[in-house]
Amino acid sequence: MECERCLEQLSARLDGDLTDRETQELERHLAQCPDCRALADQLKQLQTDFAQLAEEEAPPGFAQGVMEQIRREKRVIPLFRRPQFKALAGLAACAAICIGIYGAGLLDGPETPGSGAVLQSSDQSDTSISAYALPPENTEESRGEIAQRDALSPAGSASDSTAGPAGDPAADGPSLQIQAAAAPAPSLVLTVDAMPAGAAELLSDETTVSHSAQDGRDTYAPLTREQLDEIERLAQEQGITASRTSQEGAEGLCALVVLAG
Amino acid sequence: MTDQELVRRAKAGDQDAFEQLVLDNQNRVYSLALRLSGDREEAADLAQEAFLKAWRSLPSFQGESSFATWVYRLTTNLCIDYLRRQRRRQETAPSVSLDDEESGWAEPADWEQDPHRKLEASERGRALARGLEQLPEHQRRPLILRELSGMSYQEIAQALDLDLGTVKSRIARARLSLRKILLEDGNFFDPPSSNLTKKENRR
Repeated sequence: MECERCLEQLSARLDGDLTDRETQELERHLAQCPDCRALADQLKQLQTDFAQLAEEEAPPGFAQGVMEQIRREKRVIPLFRRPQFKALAGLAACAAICIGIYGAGLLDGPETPGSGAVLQSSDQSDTSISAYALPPENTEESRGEIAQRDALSPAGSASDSTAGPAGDPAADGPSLQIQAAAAPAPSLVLTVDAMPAGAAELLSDETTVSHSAQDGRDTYAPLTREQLDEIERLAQEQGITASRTSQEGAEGLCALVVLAG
Repeated sequence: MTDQELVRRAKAGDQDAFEQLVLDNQNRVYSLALRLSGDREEAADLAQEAFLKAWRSLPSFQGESSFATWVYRLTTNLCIDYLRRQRRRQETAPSVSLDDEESGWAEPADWEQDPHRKLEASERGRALARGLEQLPEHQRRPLILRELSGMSYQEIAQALDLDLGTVKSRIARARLSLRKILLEDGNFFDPPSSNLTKKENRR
């Protein structure tokens, strides 16, 4: 064996990549070549030294940067699916009944200023009341969630100049229509049977969810093509039925429809 | 607190626990990204991406390996993707192939001149790090994937889009170059015998 070839064999031996026959051949060569024996020892030592390889120091403030990024893209769990929301909605419904009874009691008695207003709000759907009853913002919650909540709250819609014709929840009755009416139609829609695990984390602050009370669908929009591809991949991995539909709409704008609410 | 406990807390959404995991692993992750990308800025981005990915994938992390091993693997994969994107860019923009061993292309190594400080390590560990910095990238990358990421020749060939024989020979060459650099650096091996040095010149 030539020394040139010996080098490759020595290296391969360090990586456990030699056949028995090659190992025998190598050993025969080493037995008669002191140079290659010395090389073998040094390469072996070199490999061992990787265990104590010096590390480079990460840039200053690295971990802080990572954590800031994490807080920025804190996972957006659809509002309606959060247990806190459901619990609060129940509480709010109770409160609405109480206010209603209280208001009705007041009406029976002498007129008091303001009682009419109280009654009016109890007349509205319990969604709008539950929105009122939500607790003060958790400072860590993302802007996206606040935006969703604002969209839910009648006060928010009324003061928000961008709210379109669909922005008046009183007119819509109890269904949770929070879709921005002015948003352009997506050109590509991915329909999945259920939200794949890990998909919610992919959504950005810009994406809002609308829930249809009629068929129980959740529609997430707008999404980028990359997000859509990734969610489709997750769905496929998890065995969730997913289908794509192209339609007339804004180029590059996508939406996600989740059938099971 | 043990790593397992930190992971458990981080999985439950405890950001402080996750930050501790980042702090514990950031130098190893950053170093790996730097050694594979060869660029400090890219390395910082890749390392950050790796931790973000770890955070997002925490729910599916079953603890079948240590957090350190897991995040190291995520980093390796992100670096491989980065190198792939870089190769595609180079293919579309005609230029000298960076992988051509005969091109005499010299390592740009913006990180070589950097007066960065090596973290506390043994003299041998520091010497090895210096040696790696001097290796041309076409040798350093396969060797790093082998020695630090523990990939097989087959996996490396796939990751770097090379054939198996090339991977094998580049790793061997990388080791030989490293040995030469370290011999010149002094005190790395026992003093070399004179005929070894002569032999070195022949190679």
